[in-house]
Amino acid sequence: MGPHPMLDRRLLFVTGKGGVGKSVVTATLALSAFRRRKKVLVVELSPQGRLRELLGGPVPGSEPAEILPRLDCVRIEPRQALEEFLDGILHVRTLTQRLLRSSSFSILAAAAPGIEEFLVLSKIAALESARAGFKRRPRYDLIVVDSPATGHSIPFLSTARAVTEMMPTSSIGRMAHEVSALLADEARTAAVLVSIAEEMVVNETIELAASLRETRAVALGPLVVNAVWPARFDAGEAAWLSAADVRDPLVAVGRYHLEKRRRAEEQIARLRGELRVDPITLPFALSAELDRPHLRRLVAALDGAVAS
Amino acid sequence: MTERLDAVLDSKKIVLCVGGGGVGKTTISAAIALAAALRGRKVAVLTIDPAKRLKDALGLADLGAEPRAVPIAALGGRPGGSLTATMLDAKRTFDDLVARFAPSLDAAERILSNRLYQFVSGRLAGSQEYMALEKLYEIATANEYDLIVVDTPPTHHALDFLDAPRRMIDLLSSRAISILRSPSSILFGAGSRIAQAALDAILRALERMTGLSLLAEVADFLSSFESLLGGFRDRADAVRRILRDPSTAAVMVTSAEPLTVGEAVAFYRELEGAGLALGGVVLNRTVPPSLLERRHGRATAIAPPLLKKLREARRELDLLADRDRRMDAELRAALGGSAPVVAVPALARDVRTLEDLRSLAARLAAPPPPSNVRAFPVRESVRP
Repeated sequence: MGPHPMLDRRLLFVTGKGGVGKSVVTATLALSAFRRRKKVLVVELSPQGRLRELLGGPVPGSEPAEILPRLDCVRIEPRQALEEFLDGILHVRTLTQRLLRSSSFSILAAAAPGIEEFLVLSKIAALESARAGFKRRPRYDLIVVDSPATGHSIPFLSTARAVTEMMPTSSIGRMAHEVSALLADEARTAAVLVSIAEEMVVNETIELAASLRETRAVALGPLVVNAVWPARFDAGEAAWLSAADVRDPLVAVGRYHLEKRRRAEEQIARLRGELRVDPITLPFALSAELDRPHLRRLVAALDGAVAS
Repeated sequence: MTERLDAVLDSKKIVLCVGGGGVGKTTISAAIALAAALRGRKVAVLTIDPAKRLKDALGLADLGAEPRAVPIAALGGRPGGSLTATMLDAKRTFDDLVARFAPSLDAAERILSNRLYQFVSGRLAGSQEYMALEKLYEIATANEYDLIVVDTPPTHHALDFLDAPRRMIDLLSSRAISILRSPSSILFGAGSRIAQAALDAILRALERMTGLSLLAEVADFLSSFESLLGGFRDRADAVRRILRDPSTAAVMVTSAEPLTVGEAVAFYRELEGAGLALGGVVLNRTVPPSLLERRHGRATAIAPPLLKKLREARRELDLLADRDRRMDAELRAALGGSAPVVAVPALARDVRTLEDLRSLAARLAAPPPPSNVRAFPVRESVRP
C-alpha cells in the first residue's frame, strides 16, 4: 500500500455535526492505518462513545488498552483529566476525590474557562510524544481522536491557544504553548471534517471549515462525506427510468434511488465548490445494521479514494 | 391503523420537539405546528436554523428574529387557525437577557465586553438550550397563542435540556463568588484543619500555574454577574414550572438507525424521570410503503440488466423496511403504550413549499375536512 497523505500525519481530530458518523469515520481511519502496519491509538472523549461497538475489545479506560496487536484505544474524560491534574498537585487521592465531588468546586473548575478541555488536549499531546522500546521510537504512529461535535469542536480545539493567551507566563501557559504548537503544525496534525450529503449538514460543515481556517488552531485536513447513496444506474438507464411509467413499483424504486443519488450529488458538489477540496466519499450502509462487513467496505472505500 | 399526534396537538399548550442531531427535527417541528394550525389552533413555532428551503416555505427568507405570519389561508384548514414562525438566535437572546437584567446600561456593557463573558457565553454547556427556553418563556407569558411548538438544539440527554436553566444559575451563582472570597468554604462539613490546609495548597498551586490575574478576573466577572442573578433565578424557576406543567408535552424525533433509536429510548427514560410528559415519538424517514408493493405481471417491459439492478435495489429497500419495523416495535415496547409512535416515510424531495409541509403534516395528524366542503377520502396511491 502506498503513502496516504491523511494517515501520514500523527494526530487527527475527527469532527462534524452530531449524527454524521464521526465514530464510524474514526474507526475507519484507524483500521485503514492499522492495515498499513502503523501503530495506532484511538481516543474517545465521551462516555457515550461508540468505538467499542465498532472495533470490539474491552471497554475503553483511562489507560490505552489493546484492541488489536497494534491498535489501542483510550477514553479521556475531562473530569478525570482534572482529577489527575489535581492528584499531581496534591498527592492525596482521597482529598482530590472529595474536592471533585463538591459541587462548588465544579463551579470553580467550570469558571476557569477551558481548563478541563485543555487538560484533555495535554493528555493527547503527551500520548503523541510518548516513546517506547529500546530505540525510543514513538509509541504511536497515528492518534485518531473522536472529537466533540461541531458546536463544541472549535472551542475544544482552540482551548490550548486561548490558555496561552490568557496566562502567557505561568507554567500552564508554557504547557499550553507546546500543545498549541503541536495542534497548529500542519505536518503533524489535522482536523478531519465529516459530513453527510444533506443540505443542513453541509451548511454546518462549510461554516465549521470557515471557522477552523479562521482560528488556525488546527489545519483543515481531508473532508469525508459519509453515508453517500450509491450511483446504481448508468446514464441510459437513468434516462429510461425517468421516462418510464412510475405506477410500476419497480420503476418507482428506480426513481427513488435516482432522486436520492441526485440530491447527494448536489450536496457533494456544493461542498466541493465551497471548500475547494475533493471529498472522500464513504458509502451508505445498505445492510440493515452497521456491522463489521460494512466497516470493512468503508476501509476499502477509503483506501480506494486515496489510491485513485 | 396508524397512530397520530391528533390528541397532543389539540390539547397541549407547549410541544417541545426533542432528539439528537440529523433526525429532521426542525422540519418535523414546522410540520407539527402547521398540522395544529390547520386543526384550528393559533400556533407559534420557534425554530432553530432551518434549511433554506424550509425557511422559504415558511416565509422566513430574510434573516431576523422577528415573528412572521405564515400564509396558511389557502391551505383550507379549520377557521381560526393561524401560524407564526420565529427563528431563534441564541447569542442575541443571551445578550438581550444580560441587557434586561443588568442594573444599569453601564453594568450591562461591562459584562458584555468582558472577555470571560464572551468566552463563557459561547461555550457554557447548555447555554443554547437555556436560550431556547428563555425565548419560549417570553412567548408563553405573552399569552397570544393556543400552542407553542419549540424546535430544540440537538441533545443526547433530556436532562441537558430540562436542567439548562438550573445549571446556568449554579454556574454563575453567588456560591462561586463566595468560594473565591473564602476558598475553604468548599469543604463545607469537612471542616478539618488538614483539609483546609490541603485546599489552600491547591488554590495556591492553581494560582501559581494559571497566573494570579485569572482568578481575580473570574471573581470580577462573577461579581458583575451577581447583579443579574435575581432576575435569572426567577426566570429559571418559571421556565422549570412551565416545562413540568401537564399542558406541556415532548415529541421525540428519531431516525430508524438502531444506534439512534437506542439513544431515543434512553432519552425517553430520562424524560420520564425528569417529570416531563412524552406526547409521542416520530420515527422519521422510513422507507415509503409504496416502494415495497409487489405486483404480479409487469406493466412495463424492462431490459433484463436493468431489471436485475432494480430487483437488487428493492431487496435493499426491503432490508431497510425490515429495520424500520424492528425499530418501530422496539420503540413501542419501550413506551409500553404510553404515547403514540408515528412513522413518517421519507419524502420524495426536500420540503420547499407550504404544500410540501402540509403533506408532511397530514402524516402527523389527521387533516380536518375543510368546513365548507364535503369530506372525501384521500387516495394515497394511484392504482391502474
